[in-house]
Amino acid sequence: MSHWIELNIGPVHPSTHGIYRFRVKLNEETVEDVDITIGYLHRNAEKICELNYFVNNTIYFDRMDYIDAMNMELGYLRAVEALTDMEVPERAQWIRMIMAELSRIAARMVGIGALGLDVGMLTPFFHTFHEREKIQKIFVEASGGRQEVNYMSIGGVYQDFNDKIIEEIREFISEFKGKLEEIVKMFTDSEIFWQRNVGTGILEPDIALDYGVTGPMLRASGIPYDVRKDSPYLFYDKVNFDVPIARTKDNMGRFLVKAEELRQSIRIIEQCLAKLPDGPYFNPKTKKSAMLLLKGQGDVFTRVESESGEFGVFIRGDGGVKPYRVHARSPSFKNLAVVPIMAKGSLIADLIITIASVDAVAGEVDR
Amino acid sequence: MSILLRIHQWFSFLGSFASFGVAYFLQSIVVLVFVALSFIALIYIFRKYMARIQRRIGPNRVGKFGLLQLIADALKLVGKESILPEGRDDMAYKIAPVIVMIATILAFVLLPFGDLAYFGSLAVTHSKVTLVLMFGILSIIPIGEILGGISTKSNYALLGTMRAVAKDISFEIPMMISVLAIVIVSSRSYVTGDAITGGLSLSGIVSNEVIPYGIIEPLGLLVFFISMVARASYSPFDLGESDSELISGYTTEYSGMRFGFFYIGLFGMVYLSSFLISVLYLGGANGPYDNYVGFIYLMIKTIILVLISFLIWVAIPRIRIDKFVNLGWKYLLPLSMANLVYAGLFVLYIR
Amino acid sequence: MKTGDMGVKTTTLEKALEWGRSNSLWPLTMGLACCAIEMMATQAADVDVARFGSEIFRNSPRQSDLMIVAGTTTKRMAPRVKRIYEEMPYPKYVIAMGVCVIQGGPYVDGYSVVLGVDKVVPVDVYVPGCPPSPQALTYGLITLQKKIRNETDR
Repeated sequence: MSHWIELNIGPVHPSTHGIYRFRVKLNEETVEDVDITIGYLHRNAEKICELNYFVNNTIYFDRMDYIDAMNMELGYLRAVEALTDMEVPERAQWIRMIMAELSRIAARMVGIGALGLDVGMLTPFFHTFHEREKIQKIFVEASGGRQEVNYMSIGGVYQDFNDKIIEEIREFISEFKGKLEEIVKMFTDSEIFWQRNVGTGILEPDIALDYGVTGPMLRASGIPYDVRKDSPYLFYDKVNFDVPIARTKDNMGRFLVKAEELRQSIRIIEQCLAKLPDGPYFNPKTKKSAMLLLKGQGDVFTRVESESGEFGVFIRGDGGVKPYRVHARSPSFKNLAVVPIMAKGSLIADLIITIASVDAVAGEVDR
Repeated sequence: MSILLRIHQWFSFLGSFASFGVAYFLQSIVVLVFVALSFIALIYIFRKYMARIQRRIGPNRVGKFGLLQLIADALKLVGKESILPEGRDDMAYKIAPVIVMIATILAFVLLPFGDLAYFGSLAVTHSKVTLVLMFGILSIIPIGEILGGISTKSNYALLGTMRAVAKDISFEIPMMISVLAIVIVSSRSYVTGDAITGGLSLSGIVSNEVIPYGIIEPLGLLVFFISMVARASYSPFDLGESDSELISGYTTEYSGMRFGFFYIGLFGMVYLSSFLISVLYLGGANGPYDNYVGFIYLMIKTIILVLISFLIWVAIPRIRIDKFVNLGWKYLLPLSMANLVYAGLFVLYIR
Repeated sequence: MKTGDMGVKTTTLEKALEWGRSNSLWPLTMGLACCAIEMMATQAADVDVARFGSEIFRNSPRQSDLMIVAGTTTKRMAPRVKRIYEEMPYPKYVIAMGVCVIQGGPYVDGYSVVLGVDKVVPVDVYVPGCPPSPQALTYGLITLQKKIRNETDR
């Protein structure tokens, strides 16, 4: 008996994590089909980038994956530096690494807290945001911005780490180790959380590869692909860290992979702090005021590992002071595309958790 | 002498019938005012308690320590526009919140509140079948929820109603069977082994309950507690509302005071279910010197149960609907059946 | 929203209603872009907007009093914002959070951004910043509360 209900989830819905519209075809509670509509947050950032100087475009990348601003900046700046042959001093690279990992932790805290809200658990959200607030204090100390930081700049970073920042990071890391286990336990100690996550939202590895899925979603399907490991940038080849994978392919696997990645991020930051050398934080051969005159010619594509996957930036320069074309390969966009496959045949409650486990950010999907 | 008879004496010049009427009326009002005041305190405690668990402070700006917060909320809800959505079933839409609220309030009048020093027995109703009445009233509440859900054209409300119905039919039978076990056990005094009456009234059950029934039949307590969490529909079992999935479930289209009625019904049910558990399973107002302070025993038990409920509310994720139906039919129902058999054997044994 | 001129006798009642309204602003969970995360931070432990009575972020527009337009409103989203505003019951208030919502912000050069959400819905309080800190949003909320308390004193 065909008995459809068409349910509109979104654009504004508590658990879409951004503004997409999921048009769900329901057979009572069972999801028969999901149709995703995007574009509600299309802010034409790529087009605006063509109007600006290279140095001014960082802020638009901040606002793409707005919860993981540091990695977005890093992705753009790596492309620009490759295009304009700009050297980055060693200390600046280590600083960038520390900041990128801190930003990854902050983004995960948002994602895990929102997952808690989606399964109907109010408390973890407040605990994760408390941890995020500590990271934002470090960001404010370093850059002045809480969330959209605009900290890295072409040829280095905006300002050097002083002792206070390093001390704050050390303190945060030592506290966060215990807090993280506490937060993860809030989820994994709950039988209902296991019941709702195990076996739901299954993503087969071959489908994931077909759709270009990256990040924790791909790793939770059993493929150990991480840009930090497979084509190292900054000094990721000089630090020890593991790439966790899960073979369960389901929502629980994704959650556990994310939790394990947080532990690895802590490991990376600790090693970075130990190895942080002295030296200039900004390319000594150039001045910040000379950045406006930076010219680039040719095509460049670089990638970094952001919180949701492989974030690539393509820039074509025509020899002028402004880019001819800027394009971002956003992982959220690719990851979101498999939601209909993952959710097909499951219940609507599973669909909500599946959407939460994708951790897609609207600003990056629509750009 | 109970408070009811005292009031009856004050108004004895009106004649027997009218003075009893006035006495019942006045005492109902007193009980309802007490319930309303403690209800406000309850929501305040809930907010502060939840805030403490979540490392927050909770309301503290409205009045001293935020004590007036709930009054502000109530005033706002009264002054709010109550939208009548298009395509509604007018009668059902308007009557649903009223059913929920009136049923919740009515149930409080039936509770055996126990004795308090000068006032004597505080119970309003002296009917012999309050247990039946109580669960009759409790089974009216789902009707209000269902009417509220299906009377609007919203799909979210419809799905919420479907879940609420599936939830209701899977826990109400175990709940009633575990109550039946109470009736069986309280049909005989386990001190003397004689048959005693009053097993169908809540006050009769309490007076027979020298040892709390929760100790005699812990299985029944477990089943009844889970059923009461489901009846009050808070966090692990808030399937009808499912905040993150179905916006607000069957209350999605309600605004203003009509929503306020549902809100009162929700918290009222938490309070009422704590009362019922402490009356049926934890000995109610029984205790040393219960002729003087029985009421206080009841309130202490109830408040502890309310706090446990709130802890469950904020800490446990929502169960999926099929898992809940599983729980209801495959675990709660057999458990409650086993409990019933056990209760029968227990009564045979003490005879 | 002024309920009408009911004369001297009802002023006290109106004052009481105003007091209730201002102290119990339940925001709608409507996050459009970056500012939504800071809105969540405002709700979260460190700033805790629940102190001011905005404890409950309602999911349904029917039950909320305050719409915080948090994040860039694009031309595609603007009709939806307006529709959600119309679904809310009176009295309702709007806070425009962030420069994108106030006049376009960094996306002012773009083709798809509504330059100011006040072209779509009436705005009571503007909170500038990109994104505004939770403290700024709390200040905006207090400003709105003061505004509501003085509604009938005109």
